[in-house]
Amino acid sequence: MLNKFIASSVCLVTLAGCASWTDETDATLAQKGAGTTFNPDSIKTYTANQAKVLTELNALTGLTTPSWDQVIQAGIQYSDSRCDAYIGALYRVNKDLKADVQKLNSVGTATAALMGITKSAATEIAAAAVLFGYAEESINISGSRILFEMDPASIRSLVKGSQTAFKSALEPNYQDRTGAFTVIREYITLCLPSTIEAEINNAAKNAVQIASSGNPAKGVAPAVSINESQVKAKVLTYDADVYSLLLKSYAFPGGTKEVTAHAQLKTWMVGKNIKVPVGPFLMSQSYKEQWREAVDYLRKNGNPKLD
Amino acid sequence: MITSAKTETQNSIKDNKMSETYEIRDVPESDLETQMNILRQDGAESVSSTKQENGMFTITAVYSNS
Repeated sequence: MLNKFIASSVCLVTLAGCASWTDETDATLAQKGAGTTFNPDSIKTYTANQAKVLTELNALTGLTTPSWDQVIQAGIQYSDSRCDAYIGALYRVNKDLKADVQKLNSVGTATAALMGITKSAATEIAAAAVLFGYAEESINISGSRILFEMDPASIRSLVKGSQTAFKSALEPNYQDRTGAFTVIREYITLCLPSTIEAEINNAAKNAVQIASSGNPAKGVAPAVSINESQVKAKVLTYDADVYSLLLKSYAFPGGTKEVTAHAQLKTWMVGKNIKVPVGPFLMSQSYKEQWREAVDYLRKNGNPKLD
Repeated sequence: MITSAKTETQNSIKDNKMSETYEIRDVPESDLETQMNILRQDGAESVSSTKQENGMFTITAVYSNS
């Protein structure tokens, strides 16, 4: 299966490398625009190319007659591998830029070479988007310097967040190639430099600043920063014991929320100044002591279910 | 469906200031579905999982503050 995936990926990469748009300069595209007439030869080429891509995706699934949903999953898997390569290149460039920053001040060619590595990886992901029907003229892979200088872990987190949201919104039962390719194309674009930049801009635009008052007596000026809770996930480590299992079966018997029990537990948590929702509370090892306390409290307040 | 996926992505960014995100790491595969269901029942707006390099899973749950 792995060999099949690698072989198919290589084939798709080869096809991606043939995309005509890579030969077209930005200036030419800007002059010509997207065009308003259909070129029959161009459509024939496009159709033939789509058929080749579909053949490779079918091979990637490892099935003789995959469903369109399985083709979509294969396309997403292929896209993930291209995206990982792109973000991996961003990591290398970021690391090398930091390591060689002094040398680069005098030698511009090294910088250009590093940018070339990243642009090459970006070209692959962009060409993949074209393979699945993305309009050539609408892709810009130039990428501003922010993508090279920003912490790659933040970029990875941003892209993974978008991909996760996309996958959770994806419904099954696609019925034809057009639908399947449209889904894959949309998914690939989440990793394009232009999309990432747009999402960084969106995050910046929606940032909420918080300010703390200064202290005139001590000469401390007011401080303003971005509210961390809006850009940073709270990281918890999973754990479970007999107490957490008791509480879960009390607040979510049979996997369904029991409103009264849930509210009772939440009220106890508020009293203890525990500010996370009930679900994360019941899963985080940080609250192991509190699980036992909560069970004791609820038992004392007449909850035979917890005995 | 694609529109809804895009909208969800855009909304998750747009509404970030109104949400809190929790990452629960090192969840064993055997517990994964049960925990994700509890988080959904608990009122999380979106719940997803990713596999870690060590074979365990990270669950990401986004709760609305509004």
